[in-house]
Amino acid sequence: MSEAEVDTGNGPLVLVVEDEQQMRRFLRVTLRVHDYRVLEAVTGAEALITAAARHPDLVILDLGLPDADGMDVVHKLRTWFKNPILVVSARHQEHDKVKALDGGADDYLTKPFGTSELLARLRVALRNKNRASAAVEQGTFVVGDLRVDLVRREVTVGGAAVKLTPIEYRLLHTLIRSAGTVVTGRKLLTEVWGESHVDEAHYLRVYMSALRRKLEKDPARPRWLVTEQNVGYRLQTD
Amino acid sequence: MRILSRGQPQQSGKDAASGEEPPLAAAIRPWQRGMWVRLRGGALCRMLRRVDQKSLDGHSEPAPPRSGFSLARSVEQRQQPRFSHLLAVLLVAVATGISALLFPLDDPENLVMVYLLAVVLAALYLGRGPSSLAALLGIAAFVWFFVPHYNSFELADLYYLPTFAIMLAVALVVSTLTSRLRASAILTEERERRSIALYELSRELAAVDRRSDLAAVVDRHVRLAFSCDSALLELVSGTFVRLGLEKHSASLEVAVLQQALAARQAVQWGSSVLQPMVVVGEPVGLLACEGLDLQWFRSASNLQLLESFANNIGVALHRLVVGEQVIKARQHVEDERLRNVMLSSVSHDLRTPLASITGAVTTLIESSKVLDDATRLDLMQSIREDADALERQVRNLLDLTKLESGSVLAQRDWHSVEEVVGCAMRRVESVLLDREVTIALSPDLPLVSIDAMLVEQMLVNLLENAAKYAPQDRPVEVDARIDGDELRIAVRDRGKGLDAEERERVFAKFYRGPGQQQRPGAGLGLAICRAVAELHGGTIQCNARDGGGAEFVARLPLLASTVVPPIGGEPS
Repeated sequence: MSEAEVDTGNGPLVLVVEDEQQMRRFLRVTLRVHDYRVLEAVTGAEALITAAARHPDLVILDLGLPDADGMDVVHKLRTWFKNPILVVSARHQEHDKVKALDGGADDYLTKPFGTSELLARLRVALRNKNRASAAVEQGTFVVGDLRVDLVRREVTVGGAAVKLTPIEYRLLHTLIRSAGTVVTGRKLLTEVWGESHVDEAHYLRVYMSALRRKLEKDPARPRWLVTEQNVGYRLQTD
Repeated sequence: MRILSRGQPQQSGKDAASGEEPPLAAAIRPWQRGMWVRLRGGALCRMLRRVDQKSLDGHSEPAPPRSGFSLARSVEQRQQPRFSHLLAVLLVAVATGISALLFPLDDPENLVMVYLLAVVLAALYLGRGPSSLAALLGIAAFVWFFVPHYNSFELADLYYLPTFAIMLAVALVVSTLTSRLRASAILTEERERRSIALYELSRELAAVDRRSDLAAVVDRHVRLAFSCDSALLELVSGTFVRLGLEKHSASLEVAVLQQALAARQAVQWGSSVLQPMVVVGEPVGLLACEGLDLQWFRSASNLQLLESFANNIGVALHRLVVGEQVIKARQHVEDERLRNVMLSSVSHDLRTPLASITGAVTTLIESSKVLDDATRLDLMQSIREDADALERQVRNLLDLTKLESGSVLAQRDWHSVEEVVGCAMRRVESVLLDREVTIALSPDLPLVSIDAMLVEQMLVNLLENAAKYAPQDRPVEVDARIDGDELRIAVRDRGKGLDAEERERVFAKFYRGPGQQQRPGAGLGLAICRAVAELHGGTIQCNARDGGGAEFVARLPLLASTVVPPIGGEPS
């Protein structure tokens, strides 16, 4: 059914995997208006077939599919699929969401979400994919008045140099590499402290708190270093 | 049943045909009714017999015939020294010795008194048999040694015959009297021990209000009275539920339990005895004593005491059951009331925004040509607000249901309060708009062990509450600090505040302040806050503020036993 409706054009090709018809309709209409081409799948099995046949630029995957565990679909996709996967979860699926992210999904959206949120996530996911973290390539990351020179490892806020400890810098660097998308606590702990420390979530809280005090104007209302409770952290880019 | 009525011919043709007793039947020995029967003669068991009669009558068995045995006899036998007959002989020998010493000085007939003394002593201390033996031996010795025709049993005349008869009579009378006295003393002591045990048990049972306590009390008292392990099995809709801690190795077979229950009387099973507890003709459970020796089963008083124990415990258990039913009934009424409130509240709170959405959308679709852009935008804005409100209602309803179901445990982890506050602030951005919020977190706040999602939700609800009831131009304050062994989080506003009575009721489910009925919301936000605080073992309260407004303070105890885990240091 989706075949006939595929738009012709140059916009990114998005595969929407969602069993609820109204939700699919909302996504289809919204995405088309914003120049995306849309493929649809209703079940996990259909999603895998469509993804293999059409190689979408991005997959939006609902975790509450009736026929399959969303986690399972992520795993199967990730055996060969390199493009971003965005998982959509209901509020009671907190745990599944984290597992999906650790299992290879790039970002998530919690129902209900607004159009602006959806588009922002898509933009970031596609940009990171297309430009492979352009900032890291260019050697400088800038957001607001925060500027990070990745070659010289220098951090400035509003022009003033900020001294970071090696762990704080590594933490910031990991977030910059996935700027705009959520990074799970597990991934941060693995990248910064190593595999053996994945359960020491309190390390993150302490160092993130320190990092916020150095980089944020009001650490209790962070502008850039945002906590996604029980999931991980996100470095905002807009 | 068949198993329990010993002495009756086997009636079941099937069993007779099979020719062998099932193993279970062999394991269960019917309670030795003979013991009961023997006791019926005893004057002391009348009260207990009455209790016993009930269970027997329940089986419509004929009243057992009175037996010539007396309890006194059995007690006497129990109390006799082991070598009493030997001692009787010894006494007579001593009497003969003394008589030999006195013989040259005194008349032979006075020597009879020495023998009489020996007989009385034997009667006092050794019982009837030995004292009779002493009397006969004494007569024989006297005749042999001290009556003319010495060293023969030949009597010169019948002069001594009355003396001998009196000696025998004295032996019998004194021994009977002393043994009776002794028996009654022993039984009084036994009865006293039993009443004390029962009294202690019933006194403690009266104070019991939980099943686990009941099991503990029973365990302790059975151990005191019988020095054995016990198990308390409650009969709950046909199945047995073991009360208290599982610490006994013996597994009781359900079939055996059923047998005991059907019999309504104690059943022996291996080294255990199973005593049904019956209240007003209805079995409520079983009391099992485990690991008893054979001696225990021989004692009638043990069985009587066990039965009295079981009756008392049964009544206590029954009282718990009835109490629970009352509470359940009350709970049911309260649930019913809440459900009604909830239904009306939910239907109102869900329908209102739905009606407004439907209205706005219909207008947009049907009259889109005549609407100007500003009106259209206004309608769409209202749809969005109503949808948000709906979402919030449903979320609150689900959250509260989940929290109250008892299935949610606080998933504590080490969190930074700053982060939790930050997350909450981000979630209420759209509600607070540009309202000023001052956040004061004490700089030395350590990581605290809390469920961050729940505490975040609590903060969100408190902030939404402030946004709803306080004027737009007055700041809202959030602060958090450690106060003793508590984390103290406060949210303050400058709204109208609440009067003393309202401050109590504001946390109740579906409570809406006076004049608030028309505002959106179902009165769930603060109920969730309280549920979250209580889930952390803490409290939340509402205070009046100097200068007007309300202050909500949550106090969450920091777990003293847990220490903030160390942080891996880093090379500088």
